[in-house]
Amino acid sequence: MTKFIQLLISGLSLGSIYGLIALGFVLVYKATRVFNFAQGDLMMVGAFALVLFDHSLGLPTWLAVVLALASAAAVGVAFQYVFVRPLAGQDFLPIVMATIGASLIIEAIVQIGFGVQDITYQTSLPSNVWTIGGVHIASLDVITIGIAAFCLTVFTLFFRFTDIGLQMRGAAENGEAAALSGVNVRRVTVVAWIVGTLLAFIGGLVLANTTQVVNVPLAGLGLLAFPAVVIGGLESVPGAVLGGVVVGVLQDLGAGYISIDAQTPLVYAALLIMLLIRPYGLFGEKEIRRV
Amino acid sequence: MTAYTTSYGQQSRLVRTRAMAIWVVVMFAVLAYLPWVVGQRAIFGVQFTPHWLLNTSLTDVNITLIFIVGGVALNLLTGFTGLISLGNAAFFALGAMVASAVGVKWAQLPFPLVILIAGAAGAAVGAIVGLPSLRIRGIYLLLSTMALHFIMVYLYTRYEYTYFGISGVQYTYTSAFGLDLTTDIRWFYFLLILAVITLLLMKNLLRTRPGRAFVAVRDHELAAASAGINVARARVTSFAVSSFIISAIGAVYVWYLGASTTDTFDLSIAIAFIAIIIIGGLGSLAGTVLGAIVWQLFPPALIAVSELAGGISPGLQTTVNQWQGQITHIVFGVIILVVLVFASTGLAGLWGKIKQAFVRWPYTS
Repeated sequence: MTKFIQLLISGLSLGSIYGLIALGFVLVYKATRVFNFAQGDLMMVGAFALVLFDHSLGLPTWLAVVLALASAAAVGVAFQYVFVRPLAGQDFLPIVMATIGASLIIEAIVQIGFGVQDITYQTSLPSNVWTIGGVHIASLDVITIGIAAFCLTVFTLFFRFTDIGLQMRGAAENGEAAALSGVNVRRVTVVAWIVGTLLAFIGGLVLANTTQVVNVPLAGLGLLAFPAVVIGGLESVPGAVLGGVVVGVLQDLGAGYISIDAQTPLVYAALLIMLLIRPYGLFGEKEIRRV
Repeated sequence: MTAYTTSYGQQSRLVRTRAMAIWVVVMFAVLAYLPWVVGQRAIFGVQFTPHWLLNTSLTDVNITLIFIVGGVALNLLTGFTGLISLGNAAFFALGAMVASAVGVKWAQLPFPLVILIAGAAGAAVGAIVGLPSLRIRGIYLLLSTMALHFIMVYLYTRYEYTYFGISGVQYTYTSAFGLDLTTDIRWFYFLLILAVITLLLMKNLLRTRPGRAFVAVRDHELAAASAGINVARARVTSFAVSSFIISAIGAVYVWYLGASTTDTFDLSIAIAFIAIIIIGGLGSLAGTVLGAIVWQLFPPALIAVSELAGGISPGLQTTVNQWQGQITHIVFGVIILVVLVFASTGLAGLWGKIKQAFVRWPYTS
């Protein structure tokens, strides 16, 4: 039981990071119907942005975090203009392929810029470990979960109570109708990319602080955002975060009870089961066709 | 060369004009002589440096042939039937597992039989994987084939560790139709024959009813169904045929490599196949060939160009050598984007446009 709770807590922490990446993915997908294969790469760029501002330039950590988050907006807009906008209106496959091409390019540029070796990042967050009833609780895990919960709350409020949030929901529901009602769909698209990239960057910053090792293969973790969004429901904001948490917990339970290399297949097995019994996810809307 | 066919007999022939017949003969003659050109770097005794071949080795050519076969199979599924799949590396892994089981570990069946059994296993799994495609499209199909990838690679890893140990599966037994596959030249002819057979089978499949049904299902599902096509059967058949070929060529691939580990079946292999058919042109067999050539022969060519440039600027050569993989990825990424934005029919489409402009000149728009 102690082991179970232990794995549950570390899984929740890992899952919170997946949830942040998945949330960014869903926001972009809802607003623009773009399946961004490079979401994990955006997260990785976020982690490297922190390394750049904090280590390479030697700025104070708080300023490095602010600058990294600010650069997310620039990266998101640039990503959309270079890789996505030229393909507006095309089918699913070309758009996925364009983001795959984007991921090849981004990973290569980061490697040329920072080298191929792992970079150690010393976190400045408190890294205490409390022991309660035999269960070790790391302060870093608690902070991670807190940040994810905070982001989810902020973005739920953003969609419910701000003008631009409402416009984004409208554009996601029906782009043409929204445009007719005076919503600037182009602006909504840009905002969606900024917010989506910002969330990926937040995930990257948190990941850099918890793993304390930054390298390009971190981008591969972003692939797990896809099972997360399908498990949660492709169209659902809370579903994305919950799906991320489910994926993280499944991974750690799989690693703890089966074997370390079983953790990823376990997640994808869960994805397949979900596709079979409830393809629209835990919170999604039914949109599956039958032959 | 005539631009238009004039009779049904001519229309239904594979080689339609005399000019085409000459091209085919020339092409096969060049291909038959290719191993000597690449192996000895000489054309009829005239020597030249490796740079003239853009550093292409016979190994590169052989891997290209393997990727042509795999790419053609994926194009059948994605380009002609309209179903996306990230499962190529998974079917490679399946082919490797089955082939090592019946060819190395528990039986030493003849190589051609091993290939066919690997293909049959692939077809069976492919049909099962194809079943969800009756209900799910696009994003969900992409993710379910991605799930297949990770689960299959996990099974492969367990299989490898349980029966072969940590150094990977070794494939030693190599002989096909009395031909000992011991040198790159022998492998070249074997793979060339496989590639030509696959392309011919594919060409004929697509000219006949089942193949045209695939295209109809891709273009308009409802119209295809009302024209009497069994949509479900077309999809599952396409998955089965495509998976048969990919698993079979996967078995050949690992045998050619001589050993396989989990890294042999990385997700990047599946992505490479999608990139190949996109660059070459979705729904084009010739395009797949072009795409595979570009994808496999660009990395050595980059080194050749940098070595030539090294005479002018040694710094440039060191930089290119140091970042060869990264530069390759950037170039491929840019090619993918350029093709998607400016030439949605890929290299094959571009080639077709150029050819038509010449054939129909001056009657071009």
